[in-house]
Amino acid sequence: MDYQSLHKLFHKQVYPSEPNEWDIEDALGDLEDLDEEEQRRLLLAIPTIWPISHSLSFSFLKEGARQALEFDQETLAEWLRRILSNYEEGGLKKARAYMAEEDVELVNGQKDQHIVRLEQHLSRLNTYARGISGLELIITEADRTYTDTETLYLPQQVDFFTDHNDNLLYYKLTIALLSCCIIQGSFGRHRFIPNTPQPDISINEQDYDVQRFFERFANPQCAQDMFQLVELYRAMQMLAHEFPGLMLETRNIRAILWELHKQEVVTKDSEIERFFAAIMIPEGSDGIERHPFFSLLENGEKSSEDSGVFELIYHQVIEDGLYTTSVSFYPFLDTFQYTEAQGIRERRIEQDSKEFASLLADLLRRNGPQSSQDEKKNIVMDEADTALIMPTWESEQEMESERQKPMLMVDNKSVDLPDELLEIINRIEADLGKVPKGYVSAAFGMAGKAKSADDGAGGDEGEPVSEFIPYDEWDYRRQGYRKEWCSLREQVIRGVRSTFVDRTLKKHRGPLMKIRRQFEMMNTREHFARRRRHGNDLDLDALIDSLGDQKAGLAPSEKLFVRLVRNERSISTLFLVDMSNSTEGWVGVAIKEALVLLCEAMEIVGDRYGIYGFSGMRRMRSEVFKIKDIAECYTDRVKERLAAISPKEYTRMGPPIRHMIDQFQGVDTRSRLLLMLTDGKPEDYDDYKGQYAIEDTRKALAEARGCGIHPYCITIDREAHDYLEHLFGRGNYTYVNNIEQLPARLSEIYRLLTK
Amino acid sequence: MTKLLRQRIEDKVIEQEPFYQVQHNELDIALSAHANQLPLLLKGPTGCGKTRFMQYLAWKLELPIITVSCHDDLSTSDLIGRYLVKGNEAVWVDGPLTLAVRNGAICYLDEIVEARKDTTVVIHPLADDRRDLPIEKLGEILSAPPEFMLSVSYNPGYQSVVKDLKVSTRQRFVSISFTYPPEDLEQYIVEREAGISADIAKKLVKLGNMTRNLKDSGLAEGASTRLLIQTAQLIKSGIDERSACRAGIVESVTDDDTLLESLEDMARAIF
Repeated sequence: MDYQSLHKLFHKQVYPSEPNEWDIEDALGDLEDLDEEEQRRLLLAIPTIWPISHSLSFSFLKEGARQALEFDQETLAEWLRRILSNYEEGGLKKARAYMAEEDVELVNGQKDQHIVRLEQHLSRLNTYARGISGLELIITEADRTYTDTETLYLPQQVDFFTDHNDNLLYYKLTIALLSCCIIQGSFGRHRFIPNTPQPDISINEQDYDVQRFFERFANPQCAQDMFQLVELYRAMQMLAHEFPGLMLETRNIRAILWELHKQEVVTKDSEIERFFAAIMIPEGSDGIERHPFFSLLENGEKSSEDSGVFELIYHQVIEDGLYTTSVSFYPFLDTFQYTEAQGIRERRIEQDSKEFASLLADLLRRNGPQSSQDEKKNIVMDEADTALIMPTWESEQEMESERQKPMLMVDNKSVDLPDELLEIINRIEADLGKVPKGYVSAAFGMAGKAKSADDGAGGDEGEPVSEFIPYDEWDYRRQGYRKEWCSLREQVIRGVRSTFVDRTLKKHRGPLMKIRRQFEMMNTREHFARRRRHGNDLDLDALIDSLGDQKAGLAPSEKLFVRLVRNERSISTLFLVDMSNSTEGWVGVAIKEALVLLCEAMEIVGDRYGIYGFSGMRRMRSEVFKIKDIAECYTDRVKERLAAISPKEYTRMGPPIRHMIDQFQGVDTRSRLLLMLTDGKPEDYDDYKGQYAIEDTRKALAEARGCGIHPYCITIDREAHDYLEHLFGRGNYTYVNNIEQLPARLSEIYRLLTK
Repeated sequence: MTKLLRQRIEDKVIEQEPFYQVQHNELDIALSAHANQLPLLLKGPTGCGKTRFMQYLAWKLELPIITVSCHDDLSTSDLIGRYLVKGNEAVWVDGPLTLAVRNGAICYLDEIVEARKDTTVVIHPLADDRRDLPIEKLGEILSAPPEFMLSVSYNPGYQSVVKDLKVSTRQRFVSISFTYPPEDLEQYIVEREAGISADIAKKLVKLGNMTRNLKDSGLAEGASTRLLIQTAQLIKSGIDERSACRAGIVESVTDDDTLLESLEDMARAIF
């Protein structure tokens, strides 16, 4: 492009601004030498920078002409992102300094495109892991590749292969392999007792200790390695059986991984190495013969209860003197961490025992012997009258056939156990073989105590002034909810008498007239109402019905017309307004004015709406301030409350959103809109910050969507663009860059949203 | 007219045994509900076999079955009937519900919550021990013969709060809850229904279960048995397995990019 075309394109990018010609000349001068593609690429980035800083835009063009030559489209976009974040941190000076230097990391990053970073694919892989395993697994970055049965620890990045997809495939392979190990019970308690166990009570808990288990062998390290090899063999068998597609796809990468492995290990060509090779590449066509150990494996039982096979192999290895050095499993995965898995198991057992006792106690309290008033003082939960019946089975077959469900017997009546409790019983049985007697006694104890405590408490205490409602919070790190983590209290703002509303209406007289006209126009969604007394046209169905009735001697209906009706707007909206302290000052005033204009507009269009503000501090005190609930009319009291909106504390967004979902319950309109008005990221005084806060908010919004609510966000946060798309989804947010425009814009946005 | 009606209802008799795999005690319950003249409510996720079960039941009882798919424009006359003018004469035409009552058939109202609440109220007298259907325009009260059975279905999973059955409606029914069948049964169903090899059926069921594992990770509902069967049919007619899974399952359950990728990964792991 020649200078003239560049000039034209530049103006197009910054329209309607009219920057100084000498600035443009200076910036575009350097661009002339570039080829058209590069010129275009740089100029098309200008609309992103222009609203932030004009000077920065010119510097960008100048530096870009010098540097960005080597950048492809994606890297240029990343470079731009980094420039902008530097600008936000340290202003023009810092951004210019950044641009002047070569960003080595960025340039290298361009060369490293085959590298797969776990972080970038975390969401996809987490879903994958859950899908294929059916377990609530979480994936986390770590230096080694292993699992503790709850978390899959995977390397931060993978660059074993030259192809990006192969590196991603490595993650999928490892996830599947570790999942298979968990599912087949490689870390199960029963693996770590001497000999094949019977469900025998005489075994003590410490007998299951992993460390002690391996120490029983003359060469514990060898035993541990052989154990892992056998488990890997079984996992690979499972993989081939369950996921043949993955086996096929990973065939090449497993072969490459094996080559990498061979470069790493010290002893080559040993019997054990060949055994390992045959396990990891069972396709075996690359000259890896079937190993003699396989006959042992295939003849031995494959059940998870059985540790005999590995012992056979262990003894053979020791006898033949094959074990010279410890086995390296790199780069397929690392040595199993049995103790960590044991820790998780112990924690789970403890947690389950508590949960079991409290759930059962709860059940007992609800179904226990009914007390009369006189006996109130002496209630004892009597184990003689009440019992937990656990099914027993004599033989394996019986166990495999349909399992009887455990149940609770109270006074010779059977009570079904809730699913939650059954699930815990299943877990306990999986861990311990059966529910220990002590657990049941503990529940009886708890039930008895609590019962007397309940009865002892009188109704002396007064009603709490306003009740706290517990809400769950999403923890993305563990991909699960923190149950009842936050408390939220709804309060009504105390209104103040002021002229604020009148002043606002006067001040925005111009825009208000326009808004009114536009909103009146909105009232015109047309639809035909059938079977009306009056109307524009005949309703043929009704007419035929009526003729038929008339002929049959019945009184015909008079409702024979179709009428065009224009008021079928079935929309309800809740406005959730950020009342954090960052809205102090002009921002807060603009928000209030916007709400006043909005209420005027809403009254014209007649949609149902509510307005709430939110703030709070720490998880135990989230606050939602009611300004107008959805059923309330726009009265003077509401106006007083609008005037009384003032900045409070922090911005914990999750609980208020969840509270809004509750407010929508039972609202019978076709569309339900949650419109949030905020000036910044979700953030609280405690650790509700950064990604944690964003992910919780995102989850809360996903919950809203799940309930048929459409969330939308209007923000005045300059840095908003990145995270808002993540939170609300593309096209579901707007950035109002000029705060003065907010009052007029808010109504406009609502109009467009519900048009 | 009567002759015409007779013909119509006879068309609704199911001659050939439809394939239905009994999962639990649902058939026994439905049969005794019929024997005791009780109405039946089937609930469960989409594509798990509710409608097929009704067809099977009708075949078993040797009764005609009339299915009405409910929608929010369904009026009472659509169910009960209306006068039509024929030549210079008014002719009463029974609606599907009246037809079923008159002929002692099964009337199956599919997705009942989709109908407006004032419409569903007409079934109330039919659904309790009176078993009457008042037809206002004819000035007639039809008493249901012992063979007549009223049955409704709905999916509690994806209904919004405003679309729920009235308590007074739901408490008239014997309810059977349907879920996706256990793995081996489902495999057999897919195999039978699509005429596909046991191996592929097994893999499809595995994939189906994986999608159901994701219910808390953003998927509204996992792949239904119906989707699995449809995918199997695609595979049978020569579409390669991965493409069939993509078209038949993955794309049909979600639009979310991340979920699409993950589901695709799962399909690739299996096939």
